Amino acid sequence: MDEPAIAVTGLRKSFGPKEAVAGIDLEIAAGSLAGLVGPNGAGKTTSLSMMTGLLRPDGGRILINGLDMWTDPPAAKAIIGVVPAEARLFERLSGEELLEYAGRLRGMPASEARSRAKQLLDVLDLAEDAKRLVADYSTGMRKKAMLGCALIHNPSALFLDEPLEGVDPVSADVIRRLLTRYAASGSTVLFSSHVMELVEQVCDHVSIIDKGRMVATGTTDQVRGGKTLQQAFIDLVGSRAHDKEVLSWLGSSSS
Amino acid sequence: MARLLVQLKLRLLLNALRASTGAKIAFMLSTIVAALVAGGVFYLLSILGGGIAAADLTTAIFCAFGLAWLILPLLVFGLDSTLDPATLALYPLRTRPLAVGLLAASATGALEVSIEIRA
Repeated sequence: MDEPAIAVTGLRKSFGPKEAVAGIDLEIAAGSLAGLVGPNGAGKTTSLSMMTGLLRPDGGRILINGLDMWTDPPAAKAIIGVVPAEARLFERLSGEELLEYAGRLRGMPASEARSRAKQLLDVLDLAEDAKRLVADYSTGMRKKAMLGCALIHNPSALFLDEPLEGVDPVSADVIRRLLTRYAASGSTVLFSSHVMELVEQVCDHVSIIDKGRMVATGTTDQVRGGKTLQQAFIDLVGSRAHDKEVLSWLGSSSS
Repeated sequence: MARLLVQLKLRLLLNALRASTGAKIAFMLSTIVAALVAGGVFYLLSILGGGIAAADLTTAIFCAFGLAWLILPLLVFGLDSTLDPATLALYPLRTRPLAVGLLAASATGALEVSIEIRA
């Protein structure tokens, strides 16, 4: 297993004069559960969109299990699962229909898609809402439904953008265990998050990006270097606090 | 692929109708109006008889309808967001079968839904 499951080199993207992603490199081994962290606007979502074939990069290369995402997008998309930050879903499908069609659009036979959809909905605790339309789902339920869609074809790599946002603690725990088990079986997970504790707990590989550049990448222990990940993150990205000088009027103690 | 997208479109339309009575009524009314307009146009054209003007007019009217049917959904996607291509971006679909499938799905509408309802 020398070839990394996800290999990104020199990835770049500009929006007008603003350079959103300024050449990032990333290598993630198969079976790894990797976290991508960074402050708001650092380029996490832009990077993930390019890696999953949703946004064409200005430069750079993305290999997933050796398949180049932008040379042959359908071939590369076939082996990955994606939970985007803001997914467009078929609002007028019920939960179970949504998962079933997600499987069938990936070429699975209907009966197989249906049985997997049922199992995934059970695991994701959506079985009771399986007949309701996705349009009526809450944010957390939509995230879970999207995760179901992303897993139904048993992809070899899974990309998630803020997978636990809006998800209740019980479901978050279910998802966490699901991802850990999935990675332990040899598949690869890359997800972005703001929650340092979560990344620290579950990830064996962490990358920190800031202003479109990779400021640290490696095993979780390497990146945090004896500190907590939170502290390492703030040291690397730089604290943005100027608490003494500004907003002196804020709070009840000001005279 | 085309078959699957047509099935998906039908499912979406049926669910939309099932979900709200408003949509159901709107669907029935627009079907009736469309039938009346179609009938009216045919009747008017038949009154004109077999003159050369009639042939020209028929051609012009059907071209206008055909063009509108092809072009309007492109300009106003969202009007019919039931099978928005953006939703399909995550799936490993090749451009040509996808385009054929979406064309087939866009031709799927009232007639198929009423057949499906009756079935």
